[in-house]
Parts: sequence; structure tokens; C-alpha cells
Amino acid sequence: YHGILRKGQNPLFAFALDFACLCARANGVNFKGLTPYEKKKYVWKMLYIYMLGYDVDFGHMEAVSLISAPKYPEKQVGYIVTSSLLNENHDFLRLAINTVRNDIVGRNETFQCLALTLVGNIGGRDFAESLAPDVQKLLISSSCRPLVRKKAALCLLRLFRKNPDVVNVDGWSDRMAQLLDERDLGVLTSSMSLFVALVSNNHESYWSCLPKCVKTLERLARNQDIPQEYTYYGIPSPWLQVKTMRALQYFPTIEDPNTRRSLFEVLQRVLMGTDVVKNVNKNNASHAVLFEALALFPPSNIEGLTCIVCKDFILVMVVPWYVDVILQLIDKAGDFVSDDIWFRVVQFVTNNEDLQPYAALKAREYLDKPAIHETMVKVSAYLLGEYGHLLARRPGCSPKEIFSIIHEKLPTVSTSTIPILLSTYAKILMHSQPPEPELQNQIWAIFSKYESCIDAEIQQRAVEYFALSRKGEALMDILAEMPKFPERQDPLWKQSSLIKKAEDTEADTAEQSAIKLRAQQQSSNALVVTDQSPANGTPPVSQLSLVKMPSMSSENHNTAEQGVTQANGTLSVVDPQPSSSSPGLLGDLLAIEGPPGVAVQSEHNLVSGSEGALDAEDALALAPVGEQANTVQPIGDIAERFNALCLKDSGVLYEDPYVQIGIKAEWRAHHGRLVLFLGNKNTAPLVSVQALILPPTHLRLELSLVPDTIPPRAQVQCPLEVVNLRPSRDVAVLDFSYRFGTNVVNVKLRLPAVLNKFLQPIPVSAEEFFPQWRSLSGPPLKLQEVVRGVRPMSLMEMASLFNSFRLMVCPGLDPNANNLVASTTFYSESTRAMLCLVRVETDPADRSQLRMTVASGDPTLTFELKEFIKEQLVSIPTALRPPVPVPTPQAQPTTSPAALSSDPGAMLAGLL
Amino acid sequence: NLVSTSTFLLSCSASNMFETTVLRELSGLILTRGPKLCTFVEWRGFKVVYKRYTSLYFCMCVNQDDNELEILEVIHHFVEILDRYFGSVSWTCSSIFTRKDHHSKAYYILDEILIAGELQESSNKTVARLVAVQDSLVEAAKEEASSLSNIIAQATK
Repeated sequence: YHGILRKGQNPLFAFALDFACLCARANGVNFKGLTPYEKKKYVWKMLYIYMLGYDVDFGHMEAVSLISAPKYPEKQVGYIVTSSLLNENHDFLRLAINTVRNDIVGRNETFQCLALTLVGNIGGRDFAESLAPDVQKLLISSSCRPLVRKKAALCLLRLFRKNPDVVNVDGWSDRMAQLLDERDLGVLTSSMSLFVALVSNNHESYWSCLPKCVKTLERLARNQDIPQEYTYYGIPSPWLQVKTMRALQYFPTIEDPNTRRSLFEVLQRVLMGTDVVKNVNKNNASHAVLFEALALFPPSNIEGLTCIVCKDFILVMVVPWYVDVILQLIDKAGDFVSDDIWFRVVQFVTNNEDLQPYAALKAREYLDKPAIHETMVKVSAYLLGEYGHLLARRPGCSPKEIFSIIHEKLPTVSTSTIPILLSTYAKILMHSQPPEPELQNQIWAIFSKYESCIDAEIQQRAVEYFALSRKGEALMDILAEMPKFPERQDPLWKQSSLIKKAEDTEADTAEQSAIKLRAQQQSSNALVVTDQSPANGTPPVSQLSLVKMPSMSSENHNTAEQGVTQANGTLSVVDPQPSSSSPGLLGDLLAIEGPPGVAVQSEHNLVSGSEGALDAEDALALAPVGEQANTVQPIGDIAERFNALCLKDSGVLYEDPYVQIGIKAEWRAHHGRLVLFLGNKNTAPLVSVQALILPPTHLRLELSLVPDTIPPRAQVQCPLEVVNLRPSRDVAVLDFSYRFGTNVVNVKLRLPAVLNKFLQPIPVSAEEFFPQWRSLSGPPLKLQEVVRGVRPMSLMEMASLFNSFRLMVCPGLDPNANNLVASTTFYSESTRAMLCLVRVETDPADRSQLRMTVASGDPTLTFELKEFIKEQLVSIPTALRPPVPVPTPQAQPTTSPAALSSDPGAMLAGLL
Repeated sequence: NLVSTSTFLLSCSASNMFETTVLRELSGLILTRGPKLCTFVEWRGFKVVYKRYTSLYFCMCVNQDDNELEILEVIHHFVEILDRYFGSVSWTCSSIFTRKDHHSKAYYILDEILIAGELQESSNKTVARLVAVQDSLVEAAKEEASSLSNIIAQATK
């Protein structure tokens, strides 16, 4: 050992000295003389020094000699130290071959394992030549236990990889097929690794194994018959999935249609089932699988690709890549790209400021192509409208140039694209303040050209943009974004702000589709008039009000500005009853003003007035049914709008021919900030504007001052602060009224400050869920109910419904695939952040009923949440729902309490 | 200590290079990287996947076309098993690698998870079971030895 001492390195030196002394003391002068314990100890020390990063070029012989020890502890140490210290080219290994072979062919399976591990980790040529057949035998031997066979599989893999010429795998396809039928997932994982190596070398021989791989994948993807211990963060052995997909990638095509179909199903399941979750390990594992699945898609399979690109998670990870891919996809296969996909591109570009110049530049590049798909025109126009100004310094990207290249495409596009182009022009104008007169004139000319377009959408945009853009600088303010929330110290909020942004953008596109929907809706002419008689207990109507007779100049043949009618000696009112053929609407519409109007049609009391305030003409004008249709009617279904806003954070709350009320909301914990956008659509001002909030007891609402007058074609923003005090399903109501000309309009609108807005989805793992679930035992904290009359929907639909209400479905937590488990955090001032857990057990045979269990740390919350979910699940009856009183009727300025109590219309107004 | 851990777990499935050179280069490469940087590094035509747990770095060197996320989770899988075996307190302060009986156990465990750089067992329960069997074998041999030496001691009295 003098050679060692020469090195003089500190730990080595100490160790070598120690070792030499020990040997001397033991009088054996050599290693053999030591006791087994001492041998082990010194070989381990050697390994430890090696681990610290020193070259250990002595003691190899001793380590190798331990392999042949008869007892397990020494043998184990010998094997491990040898496999760590020596590599395949080491001469000492030859000495061990015989011992290793004896251990492999021997009957002792623990020795077999050690030997196979050594060979698997070192895998030299000598080992391959002398041991490969024995290892193969072990692998396919039915008498071996899984622990030996999985090691044999990997050992063979190593030998094959290093020396493919030495290992004879001819005729192994049958054996491989047999191995792939293995039930033990450990053996299957190892065998799959071996299989990957074999097919990468030569896939031709292994066609027979292909269906087995697909079957394995199916089993994993459906989580069928997978022991719990083989799931990793809820994912059935991601490694095995990855390896199996790897193996499949080596086969150029799959001929059998059945196999192909099952594979496609599996891939689709992987694509659709992968989501971004908080747990980083789960994310990694599921994305590892996802990426292999992506690689498995044949490049020509556009359908497959489009379903991939729907997934947001890719965006989160590799946004620039995503934008590139989608743009390419649109370019190459625009017909297959649905609108959602390009909406998503827009959405993600909007949310990633870094990406905006890049995306705009890309869009600009695509526009240079001679022929591009219409969808590409849409995306490019949108992106350039929003972010084109970021490119201003680049050549070919001045506002004028961008405008002209986009405008070149206009003659080639369909009517659905023109509105987008018009928006782009407006944005270009907005971003180039002060605008070049030439550009401005060009754009204005286009707007005025489309002002008379037959398509309502185009016409509306043209008119609006034209008017807006004439305001010059003011345009900036109108098109500017809503001010951001000040950042507060809430980590949950920060995390979710990206998602929120996404929701906002999504809502904008929803708004677009709502516009389309509205265009399709026929305006109903039916006017609902309450037949009010004094006999039913209403005190004599004594206020002076006006019948609303809006003058819709385009259609209205009756230009009478007002219809004031005398009834029973007083002037009374016909209210603007929103009309719709659906009786459900009536319930949802909180638009009935205090005293119901008298029946105007063929009523004898129509003209009996002694107050000669009216001339006969006006009174008569009121009589024909046709004229009653002129009463202000909302555009679109208010209930639908409200329901949509319960899920989205921005959109239109109410619209009629004069006014549009838009909402944008941001929610953070138990705080919310809504902005009401009150837009006057007309060229005359709206006066006597009043907006009052009728808050339910559980909300604290503060509406900023609403101006009395909204100037023509202007929009005012009224922020509304919301604080959630405690859990409740009651809804706040906005009492909005205005006067336009002589028409007074009053509507009561539910505000989308509903329970689910104060929820924050939170993923929970099994380890977090079950203890919580168990600790909340029984009523009142945990409530269970069997719900009948559930709307028919698949489990997937139900899961997405839950997710849309910010109840996060946690797949894989419940072993029964027919059950859903969801979790969320509820925020209110009284409860603070409170975890809520929901479990829904469905019966696949009968989708109309289910059992629901809701648990949280607060009894009221549990109850309210349970009722809330129930409301979402059961089918909404088309008949009128039972009336519920208006939360705070006394706050209604225009309604006398007495009238309210007896008036069915007012009762309806309270329907929530 | 950081260097040593990377030594320990370096499992080069495709490399045959001289190990100390490998280590020196890799530790220089990985230890200088900030916590926010990607945990995959390209190196000499391979990919190095590493993950840091408190003061321990675990790294694996894989081929360019391997699935790095999968490998990252192999590391985490290994760490979870270590965690379960040693209890998180003892090993996070890297004491596995300072106590000799611990570092040997870590080797046993690694051998139950990876062979030839490929995952052999994805169930942590199975691994735990196999390691426990090995432990009991060692214990049994120890007891046998001590009883033997007792007998000898008795006999030679």
C-alpha cells in the first residue's frame, strides 16, 4: 500500500493508512485475513471516498473478492461496490465472471438479483458473451419471481445495447409478445424498456407485439386494473405509458383498423385529460406522457393536431412555440381550425405581454403571403389591430402599411370576417394618434361605406366606430382597457390572475358571439300588459307615469313620442314589459316597474279622462296592438345574459335600443370589483339616469356615483365594489332607470355577484383530501343529499360544469370512475378562506339522479354550496318558478310597498 | 458535499467517459446554475437532467431524444422512496451521504429502482418491500454471526 500513500490526498491518505494498519494488526498482511465485518467496512469506506470525488484506484481486487463470499451481507457489499467502482473494461471483472454466472444460474434468488444488477449496470462484452443466454432464460422462466425477471429484462437490455451482435434475439418476437402480456407492472415496465431497444433496432420482427402495446396503453389510460401503488400522483404509471408510446413510435403505421382506433382513443384521452395542475410532479408526469402522445401522432393527422392545440396547458408551457404552431396550422389547414382555436391564440397573446410584438410580427409576415386562409386573415388582423403599433419602427409596419395590407384582403373575405377587419381599422386609428389625415380619411370612407351594410353586425360596428373615431383623442379613452386592480397581498390571487385574464378575454369573445346571437333573435312583438283592476287590492294608482313609446326611427311607423293614458281619472302607466315567448324569461327579468299599467286595449276606461292633458289623438294612438310593440324591449335574453355572466367576468348585462349595460368584474378572495359600462347608443342624451343597488344582506356593495346624464353615444364607467360577508345564494339587484325623450325605462337586473364568484379552485391531492374529508364528519358541516331530476349530462360535461363554477374537479381521487370529487376555496369576511369539498356519486344506469355530499368548515357555507350546486345540476323548469321576495324591497324608489305585495309583476321581479 | 451527491447519482446510460472528468464538468455546469433556470442542460451531445432537493443535487445524463420530464420524475420517484425510507428529516440535511450505513442503503435503493439507466420498478411500495427483505437478510446474518461468535466464545472459555 505504499503506492497509495504517495498520493498524499487527505482522506485517501488517512484511509489507506488506516487500512494498512488494520491489515498489519490482523497479521494477515492482506485483505483475506480480515473479519467479514472489517472487510465490509473497508470496502464501504472505499466507496465513500470514491463518492466524495476522489480517484480510488486501489482495493478493486478486494471488492471483487467479496462477491464470492458465501454470506449475503458480504456478497451484497461486494456487488454494489464493484458495480460502482469498476467499469466494463476493467480486467478484474473477468475474475468475477464465474462467480456471477454461478449466482445467476443458482437457485438463490437474492443472489440472482445481485448478480443481475451488477451485470445490468456494468454490462461488458465478456459478460454478454458468457451470460446472455442465462439471463434470457431467467427472463422467460415461469418459475422466477417478478423481482428476478424485471432485473433480468433490464440486464438483457444493457447487454443488448452494448453488444447487439453478441446477444441473440432471433425469434424473440414471440417471447416478447408473451412478456408484454405480463400482469406485474414492474416486470412489464422493465420488459417495455427492453422492447423499446429491440424495436428501435428492428421493428419488422415485432409486428405481433403492437396490439399488446396498445392494449397496455388502453389499460393504463383507462386506469383499469392498475394497483394504487403503481399510480404516480394519480397517473397510472407514467413511465410505462411513456415507454409504451416510445415503442409504438418505431412502427411507421398501424394497419389493423381496430388497433388504430383504440390507440387513437387512448391518445385523445391523454390529450384531453391533461391539464395544468398545481402539483409540479403531477404536471411533469402528465406532460411527459403528453409529449410522447404528441410524438405518436402521425404528422398528417390534422384532426389530431387541432385537438391538441385546444389545450391550454401547452400554452402555459411553451407559448411562443404554441403561437408558431397554431399560425402554421391555420396557414396549412385553415379549414380545420375552428374559431375557438384562434380565439385562444388571441387570448394567450393578450395575456403574455412579451409575446405581443412577436405575435404581431408573425401575423405581419403571414400577410405577405400571396394567398392566405380566411382564418389567418382574422387572426392577423386581430393581432395587428391590437399590437401592430408595437412594430411601428420596423420596415413595412407603419400604421398605413399595416392598414393597406389588411385592407387588401377585405374583398376576399366573407361577412364574418369583415367586422374583425373593421375593428382592426378602428384600432389602427386609435393607435396612431394623431392620425395621418390620409389614413383617417381612408378608414372613415370604409366605415361610411359599411354603415348601410345589410349585415347587422357589420353595420353596427361601422356606425359605432365611425362615431367613435370622430372623437379623435377621446377614442383612446373609450377603447382603453379597464384599469387594473391594485395588487394586494394575496398569493392565491396572484396565481390566478393569469387565468382571470384568460377568462376576461374569453368573455370578450363570448360577447362577440352574444352579438351574433342577438342578431338572430327575432324581436317579439307581444307586449305583456298586466290587466290591473282596482278590485284586487291595489290602492288607486295615483302617480303620473308615462307609457314608454320609444321611437325606433328605423322601423317605427308610430312617431308619437308618448302615450299618456287616462285611467280612472288618473294618469297611469303601461310598463315596459319585456316580451318573450318564453314564460321563464318573465321570471328572470326584473324589469317590472311598480304599478302595473292598465290594460290599454279595448278597455272601457281608456279614455275617460277629465284631465284634458291629452288630446284624443295620442290616446287613440295607443290603442292598436301594433303600437304597443314599440315599448322599450330588451335586446337578447336577460336571463341568458345573467347566466353567462355568472360564469364569465365580462359581457353584456342588459341591452335595449337606447342603452347597453356591460359588466367587467374582477374577483379576489371575498372582494370583487365590478365596472358597469353604461353606454348610450343614441344620438340624443339619456337623462335622469339612476342606478341603485339593492343589496342582499350578505353583500356589502358600493356603487360609485352614476351621472344623471349620459351624453349621446358615450359610455360611462361606474365601478362597484363588492364585499362578500358570508355565504349566501341571494343575488344583488341593480335598479336602473333612465329617461330618453319622454320614455322612462326602469329595469331591475340581477348582478352576477353570485356565490361561485367567491370561489377559488384549488387542487387537492389524495393525501390532503381524505384527512379533510374524514375530519368533516356529518351534518351540519357535511351534508348529503340525493338529487333527482338532474339534467342529462355525461360525467365529462358535469366535470366541466363544475370547473366552470370554479369547483375544481380532482380526477383520480375517487376510485370509482362514476364519481366526481371537486374542491374549492370559498372566501367571505366571516368565513375567510375555507376549503370546500364536494363528492358526487352518479349512477351510470340512471343519469337523472345522483348523490351529492358537500363538506366545509362552516354549516351555512355547506348548505348554501350544496343548494347552489343542486340548482346548477337540476334542469331549470320552464314553468314559472316560485316567487321569492325581493331582497330589500324598501330600497325601491319607484315602487310602493303595497303595490309590490299585491302585484304579480313585482312579485316576479323578486324571482331570483 | 454537493459534488459528491452528483457523483453518487450520476447514471450515465450512454456515456463511457472517464468518470472524474464527467463529474468535474457536470458539477461545474450544474452547481453554477441559478434556481430559476431550466433543470435540463445540454452537455456533450447528451441531456443532463438534474433536480435540487435542499442541498442535494440529483442528476441523470440521458440521450438527446429521451423524455426529460420522465427522467425528472424518475429522480423524484427515487427521492420519494428515500424520503419514505429515511424519513424526510434525516436525509434532507444530506446525512444519508455522511453516515456510512445511510449511503450504502441509498445504493441498495437505487439498485432497486434503476438498472442500466432504466426504471425497473415504479411502485414505491414494492421497492420498500424489497429493501426491507434485504435489510432483514443482513440482520439475520448479523445475528447468526453474533450467536456463532458467542458459541465460539463460550466454547473457548
